[in-house]
Amino acid sequence: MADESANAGGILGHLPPWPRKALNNSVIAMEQAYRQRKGLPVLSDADIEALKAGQPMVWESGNGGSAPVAAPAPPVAAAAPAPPQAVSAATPSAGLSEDVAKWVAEGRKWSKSTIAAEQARRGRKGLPALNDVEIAALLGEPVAAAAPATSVPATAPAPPPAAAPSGPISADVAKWVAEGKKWSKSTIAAEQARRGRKGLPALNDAEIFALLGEPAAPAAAPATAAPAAAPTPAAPRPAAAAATASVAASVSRSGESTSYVGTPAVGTSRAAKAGGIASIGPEDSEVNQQRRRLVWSAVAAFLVAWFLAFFRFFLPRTLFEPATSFKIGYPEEYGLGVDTKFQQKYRIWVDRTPDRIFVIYARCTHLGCTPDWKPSENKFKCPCHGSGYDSEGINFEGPAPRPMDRAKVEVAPDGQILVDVSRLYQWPKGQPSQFNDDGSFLRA
Amino acid sequence: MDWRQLWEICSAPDNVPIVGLIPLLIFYIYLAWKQAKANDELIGELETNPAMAKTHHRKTWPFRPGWQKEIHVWPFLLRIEFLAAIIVTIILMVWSITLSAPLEEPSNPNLTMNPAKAPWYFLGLQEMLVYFDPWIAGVVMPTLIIVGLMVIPYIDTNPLGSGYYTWKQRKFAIGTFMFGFVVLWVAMIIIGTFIRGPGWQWFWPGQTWDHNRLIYEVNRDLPDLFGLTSNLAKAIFGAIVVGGYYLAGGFLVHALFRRYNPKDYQRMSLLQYSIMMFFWLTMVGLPLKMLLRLAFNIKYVWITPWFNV
Amino acid sequence: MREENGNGKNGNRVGLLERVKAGVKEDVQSLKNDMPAKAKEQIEGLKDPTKTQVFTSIFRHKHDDTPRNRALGVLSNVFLHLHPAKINRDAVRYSYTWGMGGITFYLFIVLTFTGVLLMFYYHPSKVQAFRDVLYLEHDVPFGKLLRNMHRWAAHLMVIAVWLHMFRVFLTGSYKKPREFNWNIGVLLLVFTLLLSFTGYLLPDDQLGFWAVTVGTNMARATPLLGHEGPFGKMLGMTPYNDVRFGLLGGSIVDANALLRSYIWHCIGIPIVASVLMIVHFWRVRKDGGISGPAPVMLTAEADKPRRST
Repeated sequence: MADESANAGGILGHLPPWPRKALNNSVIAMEQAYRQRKGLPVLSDADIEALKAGQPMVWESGNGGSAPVAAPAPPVAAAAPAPPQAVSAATPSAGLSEDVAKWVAEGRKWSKSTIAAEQARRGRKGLPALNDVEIAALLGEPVAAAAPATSVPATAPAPPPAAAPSGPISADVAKWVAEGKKWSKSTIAAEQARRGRKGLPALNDAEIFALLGEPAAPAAAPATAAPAAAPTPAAPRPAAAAATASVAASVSRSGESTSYVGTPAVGTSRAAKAGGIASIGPEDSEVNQQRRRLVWSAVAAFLVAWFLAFFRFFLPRTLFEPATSFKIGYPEEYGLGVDTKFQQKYRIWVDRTPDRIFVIYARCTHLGCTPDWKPSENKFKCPCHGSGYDSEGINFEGPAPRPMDRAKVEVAPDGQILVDVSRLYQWPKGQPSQFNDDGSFLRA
Repeated sequence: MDWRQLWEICSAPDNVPIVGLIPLLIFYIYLAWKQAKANDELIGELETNPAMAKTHHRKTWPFRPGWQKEIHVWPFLLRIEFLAAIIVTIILMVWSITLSAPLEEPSNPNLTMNPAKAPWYFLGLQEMLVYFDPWIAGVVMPTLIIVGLMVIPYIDTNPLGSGYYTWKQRKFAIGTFMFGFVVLWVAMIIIGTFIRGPGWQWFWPGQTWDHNRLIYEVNRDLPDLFGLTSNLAKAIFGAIVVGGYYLAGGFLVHALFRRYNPKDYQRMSLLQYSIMMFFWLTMVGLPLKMLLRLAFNIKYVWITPWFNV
Repeated sequence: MREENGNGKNGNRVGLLERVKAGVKEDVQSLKNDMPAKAKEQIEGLKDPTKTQVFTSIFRHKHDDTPRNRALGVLSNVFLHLHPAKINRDAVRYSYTWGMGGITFYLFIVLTFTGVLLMFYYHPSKVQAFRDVLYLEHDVPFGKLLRNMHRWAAHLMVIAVWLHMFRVFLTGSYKKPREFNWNIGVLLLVFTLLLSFTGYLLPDDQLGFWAVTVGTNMARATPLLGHEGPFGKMLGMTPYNDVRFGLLGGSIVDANALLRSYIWHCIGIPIVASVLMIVHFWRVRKDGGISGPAPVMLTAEADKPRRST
């Protein structure tokens, strides 16, 4: 079964499972412990012997068998296991599914890599994988569905499973073996591929083993042990055939170019399933979802509160800045015109006209520099960009948009002028002037 | 029993961390001890049963045995780290809201507080100032502590116990470290925080801190006890005493180490061994000198014109 | 010519006008017909924000539960990729590592964040420092909370660092090949304590002032380099050029000392500590990740030659 299906549709030609070194006690012990934990049938002494002799463990068939029980039973066992095996190995001799039939009808022959890609896609999406019949059909080869089914019973009787897959060694292979050079596994794979391309018969297991330079080891032991151990379905009985079969089948079925020999990649969900362990991670129950939401909302609320506090932190409640309200002496002390007495200390000019006293805040209305009073030209001139203001602070040249602001003035109880620069009177362009408002000037 | 005094000391904001350190330390020592005990039992079983040693698992306290051996960092490790951050933040915020950081009067170089204490993590060193000169307690000792810590991995030749808690397999290492950390470092801090009061005098917990208490202590130097007067004699005498301590102590430790840790002894090179000896004896010398002072009122052992030990 | 351009009396112009009108009518028609459907389609597209260009340009892979995306979540994230994609399931158990290393790092981040915020209101000058702290506590919204958080996080960090060192020692995680990382850790311990020490002075209150005075006074007793230490005078050390002078920037704890303390505390030591932390975390990965829990090793197996990890 293995060979036929492999020849019919294997992707790279099938490779036998790597002949394995004898298992040591700790791995066997681990397996025993695992079985005991899980309540599975434990390994018998015969099984252990076989394992030590080099039989692969049950999961190494690469099936990712969910339970050892479901592992492909040896074809050696009665025909009864055979159909299950045929079933398990080639699930759907069920025929082509609808879309595959459509593709086949299109007439375009699919390449092996396209099939592999389609298999992978199905695997990702969780769709049923292409079965051998479909693969064969897509490849444009005669459906070999019958072949696997019939070949199994054919091998079921006497000939030990080792014999069937091993097969006779053909002439040219015997020649290569005689050359003495041990082939590497990749060379064998390449040869298989070549044969596949040329349509030549693929190397069988015996030939492969011979080329690898190892004895066709699995032959005797599993054969004899198998019947004895047949009742233990869980036994790691996949003799080379079954193993090969399932390997090949899994190759063709899953569309992967290599078959895993050994557990699926540690930590993947497939491995977890293979080990029979429930997928790790918290279940997605309603309660857990609520809890998760609660935790995240609490974290979010905390961070939002911190965020707000963070911004508020930058606005202190009190400031230590120079006073905005101060006295500048008596009105009588000021003569007509601009007085720069307090420009340095308070940034103001005191301006007296025949009918008023007012205080100009010495800030250019362009970009905030402090203009200079030029008595010889009777104007304020800002050094930054050249804005010019007349002797009352009204702008007439340069980029200043409006006259300079005036500070609030009032007469303090002791008769002095009290200036408050925190209250400024403006005359924005095109708007009514505030320079006549109460507080913006003192009657002279 | 002056409870108010005790409460005042314990609730001083900067002492709260030490009050918190004590139960934390006890808890974690207990946690480590539990795991060490489990591991030691497993080791005992495995050592008595070689067949079992070949196949039995080698870990105690497996974490979620049903899980795969290797699990994704996202989400499993990250969620625990996240949880730890949350818990630490909560503790910190509750602590910050309820207890205010201290702010005493503005600094005044002319008015020293009594007692004037270093920050709590340096109180151990400040306690050493009682028994040693400032240059030893303040410079040499911290340097030796740091260098000693750095040297540990290179003189520890015991390959056992790497990656799991154990007591049985690392008695010397763990015993030494716990003596140095818990007894010398932490206990000194506790003394400096709770016991040392005004004038750096010794007040038992519950005794009122009396600023006017005077204890008249007569401290004598060791050479004086032996009636030596000349500087040279004192210097030589002190050298002999200190040298003798290292020698005699060295022999004693050597005998015990060789007897109880024969394998480690074989593995250590001469250099490793001497370094280990030096640091070990120096460390143990501390409580010895403290004992000399507290019990016998002996101040200095080695007096020279340039330094005193 | 004229007649060919349109079917109106005015030739070009009419033809153009007609065409424009027709065109506009067409546009309006097509808008009316197609727009609702198109709009609906585009809004439907936005219903799943994870498929929009904005989202996919920021998050370069899906964040669902597949093993691949779980691994990518760690490996493709600049903040998380210090972690491996997978760890041994036993290493996730809290009681093994106590999480103290991570907690220390988290506290360092908290301290940096709160510290930077505090810097907005603190002037490191003798005239202003104390008043700034008072200002922070009373006139700045959340200022008191921030100051408290900063101080208590500092204490917690010192405690966490000690517990981390303690745990690493107990599990023997300084043994080969982690010796160098242990030493980096010792340096980090020293710098943590120094960070705490330099910060202690900054409020310029009696507590901090005298703590630092006591601390730095020990520096003047340094052998060879201190003006009161052994052999110091012989090398010409005076209070104006010895190592204490270098630390304080003066012979007394004054304005210079405050400024230096500030710079060490905010810039100098954090930079050095960050570099050391980078090395420390890197070495954790390179030396093989978290050391355990490792399978116990038996005495008989201790001296067998092993691979170097």
